[in-house]
Amino acid sequence: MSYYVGSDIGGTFTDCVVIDERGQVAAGKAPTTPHDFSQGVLMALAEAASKLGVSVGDLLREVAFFPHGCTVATNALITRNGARVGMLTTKGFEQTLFMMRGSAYCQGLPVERWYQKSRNDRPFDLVPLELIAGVTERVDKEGREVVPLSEREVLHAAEALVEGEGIEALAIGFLWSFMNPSHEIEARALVKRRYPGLCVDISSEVAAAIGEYERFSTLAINSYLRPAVEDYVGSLEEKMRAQGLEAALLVMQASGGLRHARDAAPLAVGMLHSGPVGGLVAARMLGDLLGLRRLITGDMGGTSFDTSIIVDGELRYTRRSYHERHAVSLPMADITSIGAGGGSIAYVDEGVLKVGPRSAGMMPGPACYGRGGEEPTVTDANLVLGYLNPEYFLGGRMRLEPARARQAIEQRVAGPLGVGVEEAAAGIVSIVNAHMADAIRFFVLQRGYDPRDFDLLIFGGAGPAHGAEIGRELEVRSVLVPLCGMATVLSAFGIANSDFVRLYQTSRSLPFPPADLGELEELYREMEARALADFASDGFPAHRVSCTRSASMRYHLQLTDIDVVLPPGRLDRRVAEEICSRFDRQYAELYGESAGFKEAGRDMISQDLRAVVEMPKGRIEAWARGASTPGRALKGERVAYFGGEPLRATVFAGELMEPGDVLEGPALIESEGTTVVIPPGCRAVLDPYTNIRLEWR
Amino acid sequence: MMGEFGKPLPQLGSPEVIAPPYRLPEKPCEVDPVTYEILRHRLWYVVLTMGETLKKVSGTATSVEANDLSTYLALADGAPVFLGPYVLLHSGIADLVVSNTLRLNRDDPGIFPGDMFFCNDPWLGPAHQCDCSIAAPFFAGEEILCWTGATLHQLDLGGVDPGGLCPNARDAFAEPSMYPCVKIVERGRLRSDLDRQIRRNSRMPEIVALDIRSMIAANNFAHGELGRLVERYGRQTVLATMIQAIEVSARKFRQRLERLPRGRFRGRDFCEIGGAAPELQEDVYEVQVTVTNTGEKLTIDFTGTSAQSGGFANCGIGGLKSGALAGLLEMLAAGIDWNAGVLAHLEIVGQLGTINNPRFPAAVSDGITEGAVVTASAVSAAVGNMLLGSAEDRATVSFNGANTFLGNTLAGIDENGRVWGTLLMDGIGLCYSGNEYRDGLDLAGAGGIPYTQFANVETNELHYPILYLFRRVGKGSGGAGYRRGGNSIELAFTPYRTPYMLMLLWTHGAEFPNAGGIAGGCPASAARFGLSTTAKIDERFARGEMPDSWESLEWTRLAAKSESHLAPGNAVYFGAPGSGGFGDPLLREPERVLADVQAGAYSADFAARFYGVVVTDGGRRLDLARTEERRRHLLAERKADSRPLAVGQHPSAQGRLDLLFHVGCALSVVRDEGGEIYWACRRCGHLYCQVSENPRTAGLFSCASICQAGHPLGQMTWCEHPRFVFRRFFCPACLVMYENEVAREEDPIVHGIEYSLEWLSSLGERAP
Repeated sequence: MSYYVGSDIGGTFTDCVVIDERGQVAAGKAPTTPHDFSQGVLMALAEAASKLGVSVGDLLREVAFFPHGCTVATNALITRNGARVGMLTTKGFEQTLFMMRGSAYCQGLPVERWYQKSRNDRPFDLVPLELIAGVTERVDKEGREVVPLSEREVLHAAEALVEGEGIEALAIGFLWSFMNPSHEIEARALVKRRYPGLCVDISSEVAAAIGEYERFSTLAINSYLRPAVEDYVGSLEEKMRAQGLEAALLVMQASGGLRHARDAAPLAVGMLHSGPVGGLVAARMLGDLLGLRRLITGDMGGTSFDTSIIVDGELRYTRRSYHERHAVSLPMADITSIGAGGGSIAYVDEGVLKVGPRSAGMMPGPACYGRGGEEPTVTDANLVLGYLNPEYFLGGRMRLEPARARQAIEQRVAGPLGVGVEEAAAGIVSIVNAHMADAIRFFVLQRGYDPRDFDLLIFGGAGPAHGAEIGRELEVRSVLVPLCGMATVLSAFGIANSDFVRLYQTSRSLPFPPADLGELEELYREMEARALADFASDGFPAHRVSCTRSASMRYHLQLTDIDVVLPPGRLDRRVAEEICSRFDRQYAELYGESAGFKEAGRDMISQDLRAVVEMPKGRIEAWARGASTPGRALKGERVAYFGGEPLRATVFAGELMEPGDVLEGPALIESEGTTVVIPPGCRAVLDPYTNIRLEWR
Repeated sequence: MMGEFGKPLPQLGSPEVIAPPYRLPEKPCEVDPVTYEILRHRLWYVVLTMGETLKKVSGTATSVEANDLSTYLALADGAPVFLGPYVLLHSGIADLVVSNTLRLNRDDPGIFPGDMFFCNDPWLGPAHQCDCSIAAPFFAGEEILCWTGATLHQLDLGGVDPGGLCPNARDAFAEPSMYPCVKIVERGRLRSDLDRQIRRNSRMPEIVALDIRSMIAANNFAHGELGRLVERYGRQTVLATMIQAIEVSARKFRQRLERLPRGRFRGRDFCEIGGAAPELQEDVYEVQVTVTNTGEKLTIDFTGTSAQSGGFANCGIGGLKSGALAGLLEMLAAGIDWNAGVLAHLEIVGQLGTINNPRFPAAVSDGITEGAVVTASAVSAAVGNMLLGSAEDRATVSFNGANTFLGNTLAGIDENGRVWGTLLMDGIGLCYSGNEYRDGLDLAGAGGIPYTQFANVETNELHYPILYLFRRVGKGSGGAGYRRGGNSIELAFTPYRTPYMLMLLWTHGAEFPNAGGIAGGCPASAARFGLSTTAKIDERFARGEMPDSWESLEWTRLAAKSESHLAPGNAVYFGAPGSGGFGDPLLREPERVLADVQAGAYSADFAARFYGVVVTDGGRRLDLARTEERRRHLLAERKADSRPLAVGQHPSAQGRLDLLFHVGCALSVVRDEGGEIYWACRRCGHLYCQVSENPRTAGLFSCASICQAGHPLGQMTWCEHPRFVFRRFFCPACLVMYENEVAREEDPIVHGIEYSLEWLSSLGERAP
């Protein structure tokens, strides 16, 4: 039997999903083991394997690939545990990174904090100013050399940085290098000749995009993360091999695709978001399976709430994202963090009940964790309302203390407001649901869509408790909790079902259509040739590689650009016309009929190529619809509060539910690691794939 | 020397209340705390999403990249409920635009559902004509429930000079066309006649058309959302929530005022040159402000401010209100939603016919960068004086920073023969001052614009025929201080592959620093503009030479308002002013000075001159012995350069002195056993004078031209005929610098802090 696996090594838990060739899916979960990540992987794998009746040893021998997602890059950035990086840049522009285009005190912070930026701090320096040296060289916007590179200055500066300052990595970023990378390449060659062992990155290779601040920031993050990523990959691969893994170890990229782990380090920055993006791949897959073209994803965990959208079966990409408040200018899945999840703290200010944005985090965590947290959180409120089973939190891995939750809410919220504890808890949950809905609505509208045209896929440990209400607030078509039992391991599931993806970018800014289409065609061909060569070195023949051309375009004099997928085939006049009309259509659809200033003409800002090698995947089987009486799954009853009223909610075991089951609220579905809350007036239906669809009557 | 501060100009009418405190309407019903918070948050997101809609539909550089826009939700009377996080210098206009729209249109042509009104008239709302606003009433049934509005800066709406800021205008008729609250959307339809008229009067009609549509789209979006909310929650609840949001802010702001020192606090700032006409070249305008805190109300009185200019430096009444708010919101209203609740405890007083409240038809097109900014700067200085006596604020607030925007218009012909023009927004790279515990914030942006961002060098080079020579944080642009001032941006560029370029400057503060020192800290640098006609940049490039600093070329200094014609090979330099230092620089720990020099905040030479700290070995080592010697020398110099100013008696206190509270770094308020209250030196205990008097006139006084060589400001300011002086005030006993000010010879010494005696005597033993 052949198996497909996916693993997601998170900050707290490591998840594994195994799919066999019959389409059976099993999941395992184990605490993450930072001293040796392979242990957590093997424990989780063992759990999943045992559910399918196979041994870990057999599994490791049977799989063709071992894809995984990890937090190593994100963690190194958060804990500031990266390399000591030095930088060479164009003379006169040494402070580009430091200046952050003047937004150092706001960038990457929630909007509320922009109003008091003088109380904010700068983010930490990726490269301290004293480790940045300017060298004589200049290129102009067309890529013409204005001043030649001074070899003497390059060597002199490199020597000072390496021998005087002891840098571990060198980043080389020059103005306009994406138009003409020769100075960067030359500088790297000079440095490498002198210091062959030094890790040297150049900006035109890491992020060939216009905008020196964001390009240099992406470059600096990459250099900063490389050693940590290299160590991690080397060690994990070695340990997994020792356990009998024969297949290639793959790693998930923020681009939404896989890459050989051994090749990942040179583009370490691409491993940010490695885990969460798996959830999006899974969501896309479910959307395809169910025929849902537009999905909002909500991944709510104990300390975070991430959202994204999938439109017409495609992940949405952003060219600019912020990580620990530093800019990254690479196409990445457009995931935004909109809140602190279950850990959001509730308090009373001027007689008004507020929830978040402060979070109790993992330590001390909510009051009910009993780790010293005294402030009430959303998780405490869910417990007081009877939504959570204190004995079955994280599948019984952790016991919650309801008395502490009550006490915290009584002291900090109910008392000051002069209301009962349950009423206060209900208020906390209503507010957090409404706020999350507001933030999601903003996110969707900001991207030019209306949430009412979407279905909401809600997952993560804390998500399914809030999905029905958030969905009602957003007026989405329906709310889905994915594949019963998969809600807390959805990223691993997505990773198991991912493809190899490589993205290429050039940033030639030109009026479109340009006088010479041949030149543009040549640009795309070069990228295609590079893609084929890169995949060939991974062992994939050209016929397995499919390339999609796209471009970022805008109207002249306007700065809002959108990505347009190019029709296949050679770029000629006819194709160019089709591109223009696609762009016009998309622009009007997103921003309104009158928003585009067509008379000014169109500009193409950058050229992109997405090269994909499809991987074999496990098939998800539809089950036959069974009986609609889920009596087999009935666990009992407990009191839960809805709309301030104590009601008897029936409790079901998620693992025992079957397609066709229909539950009327008030009801709760408990499965390992999560609880689906079905309020009165809401109905839950299990579809043939065991997704739970929540519908309001 | 010395006129009188705050004296009304006799030729103008008597000072009057320009904006009385806002009176909150009654809530129509109570809202439970949960519904309130849910609705409040939703309404706030409506205002945020309006901003996104503006950016998307307009898509222009000013909206997308420079955030030069604003959005608001206001009550039926125009009282703002939420202001979007954009340009707060637009913020004062919401209530003005709405109240004037109501006044002018209610009877004829009438206001109906689906109508929207266009206003760019500086006597009815915005600070200058380029800030165009579209206000839209939202009806619930027959009545207006609330208003939404959007404002966007327009690149051109006509006028004698391209770009809408007109140095050559002598009155408003030579400036962009004005539209006084006219109905642009009638029952849901854009009026094509008016649209045509607005476009016809612009040099960039397509961009203006897009911007108008984006403002309409933003209002439409908001109205859709409001409709859904009214349907779901009922109009009473929605209205009650909006009023309660204002009430909460009003209550918090009131509590804030109650906790702050009470009395009268003064500040002032200047701008030079009224316009392009020769007779305006020598003008200097001054905004004087007295801020009075009674604990329940803050009165901002501009009496004493200069008469209006004959050129374009005046700002409309919206500029006055916005400037006042921009000058105080960040300092006084952190953690408070910025809405009409703040206005409920605020009163603005002034004379009609002044630089920030001119009579029609004064030229006002530079109002936002002149009248409004100078107003903000003076108000923040006065508010800063109020906060200096609060220990909590000295630890948390960022005192008045740099606000002088480097206004410029560049225009010419590019290498393809196309005419182009722009405003280089890099000058927004300004900074904040610090406080007793924190240094100033380099490049934190402009006050009153929460999210400031300037474009990449590559973006600007892509769009315009310029090539940057360097761009960085300007070393030493911030003032020296116990906590150093922040540093702002500096840059230089050369015209690139273009035969000709015109450059207009329309700013101020090149002749003197606008960002004053705080509590004895030094003022920041002045703005610095240079043109190098001898640079021959192309030849240098050919030799492999890259000039990368002010020092590497020869410059001709340019005035803050000037016109230059650039030829190939020339270079242009912009240096933005930093922010003032906090406290006497000689109090700064030498180790911190060493760290500053190493981090490039200022040079070793600067360290020796202003801080008396000797850093050797190319910035690597601190020479403590020579530092001590140098500091002794500087103190001796202070003594030698100064004289006592007071003619009165040195106060004699009775018995033991109790500290009431400290004020800044070097002053304290103390009480003797007889109950008399005095100003004293925080450092050595020296008694200056009774607390009702001005401590600045009770110490040692030193006055020198700001251009004098060797003077702390010598290297940073410039002018051919210095009109400004730097006044420093030292403790006669320990020589600590406790205050200083920049002014003209004839200007009165500012009595910055005049505590309410009633308040002081109510203090008892506790400090504020």
